[in-house]
Amino acid sequence: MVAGWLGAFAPTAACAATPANSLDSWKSFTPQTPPAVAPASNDPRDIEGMYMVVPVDQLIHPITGGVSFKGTIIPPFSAAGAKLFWYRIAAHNQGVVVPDPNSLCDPSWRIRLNSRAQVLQTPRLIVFWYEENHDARLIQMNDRHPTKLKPSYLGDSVGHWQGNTLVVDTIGFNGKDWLDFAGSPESAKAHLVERITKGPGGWITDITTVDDPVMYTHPFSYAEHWFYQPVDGDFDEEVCENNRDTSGIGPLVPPP
Amino acid sequence: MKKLLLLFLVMALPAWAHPDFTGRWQPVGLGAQILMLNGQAPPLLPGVARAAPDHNEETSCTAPGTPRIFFEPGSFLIVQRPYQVLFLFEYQRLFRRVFMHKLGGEIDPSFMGYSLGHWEGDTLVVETSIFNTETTLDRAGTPHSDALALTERLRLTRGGMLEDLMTVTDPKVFPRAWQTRFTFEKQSGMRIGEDACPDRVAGSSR
Repeated sequence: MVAGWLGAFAPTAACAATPANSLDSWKSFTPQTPPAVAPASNDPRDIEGMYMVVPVDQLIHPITGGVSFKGTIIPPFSAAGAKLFWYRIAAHNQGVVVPDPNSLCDPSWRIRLNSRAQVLQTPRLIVFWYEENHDARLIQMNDRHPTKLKPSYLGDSVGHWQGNTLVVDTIGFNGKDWLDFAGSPESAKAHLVERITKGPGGWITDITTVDDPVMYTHPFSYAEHWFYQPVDGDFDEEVCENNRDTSGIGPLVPPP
Repeated sequence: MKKLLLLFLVMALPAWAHPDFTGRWQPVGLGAQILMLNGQAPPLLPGVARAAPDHNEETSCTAPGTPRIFFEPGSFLIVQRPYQVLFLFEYQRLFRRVFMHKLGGEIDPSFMGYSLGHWEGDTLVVETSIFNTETTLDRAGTPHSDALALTERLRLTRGGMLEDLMTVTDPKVFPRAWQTRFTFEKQSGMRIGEDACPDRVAGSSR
């Protein structure tokens, strides 16, 4: 079982030559976009625009705090986290699709593959809005988390600028989401801090630090890169719930 | 002199100085049925039947479309930008976009329709068409066809409410165009709840 999981979650063909979490990955990536009409602004604090999330591996490969496993870097699972993660991998390898939030049309935070995203920016609120599953993350600027939070898939996010870095602090998860497609778990005690910067050409780099003492032995961080799309374009109206096809989803296998 | 100064200031206001609808809003005063301004239900063409309400909030996660989304539970956010006005609904986390310029290419029919807006003074005028036919106008089964076209005039009232005066045209369903009015009350904060509909309709089974 252990030997099979890496093969099961090897990078997809489209990403096979793509170093995970590397800015080099964009060189082999050709998004389907209309002709350019507007470049990214030169203001490092202006991140409004349309983006394509750079495809990465289906498993998070931490850039800090990771552990080595069979020649690759994986998150530092705790005993509870490893149990859940390997259960999901084993189910996958046995042909059982373990229902994850995305396949059930529920909201999901996890790293997105080939998903378009739009950022709308106002002084009070920044919206990270994804085409996939119409998820919208709301970042309340210069605000505090409410004292009473109703647990949710996407949590409660507050943000502020540190120089030209947007720092986003998120808590209040419901513990049902996955951090990635492979099945890295996330508990209700997860605390995520993102440091988001804008680079040349409008690139966005989002370094997320995960502090989840239930599922991981210590904090780790991973990177996500967003490719600026110089279009003021449209999203498809992807209403997952209307197109829901559960025929490929196996039985609701209870957690171990 | 003061009047002249005031006149100068008004004339000098930049073109982008439109009212800002950004905020959280709650529809008020709505029942299940969409009504004309005179309080009556819109008459249907002969032979057009009222649709059976097929969207049950307790059991279904299908999208209700425009304008039925206003009849559903929860508030919504408006995020107003110069090129787009985005409506983010708490209910099922659905969205509606009002583009402030035409999109290129072919537009596919959708639940929310294709909305194009422009400003007329302090009023945002939104023309919406290209709907699919999988929705009704309200929770009482008032039908529409693929010929549905909406014209909305959104403006802030003196009482701080957001008024949406909507003209409904659908020559396959209604004998003539008619108007209805939605009123939205400003709510505090910019947070909306996360309605994970599949979880909600599944109850505690997962």
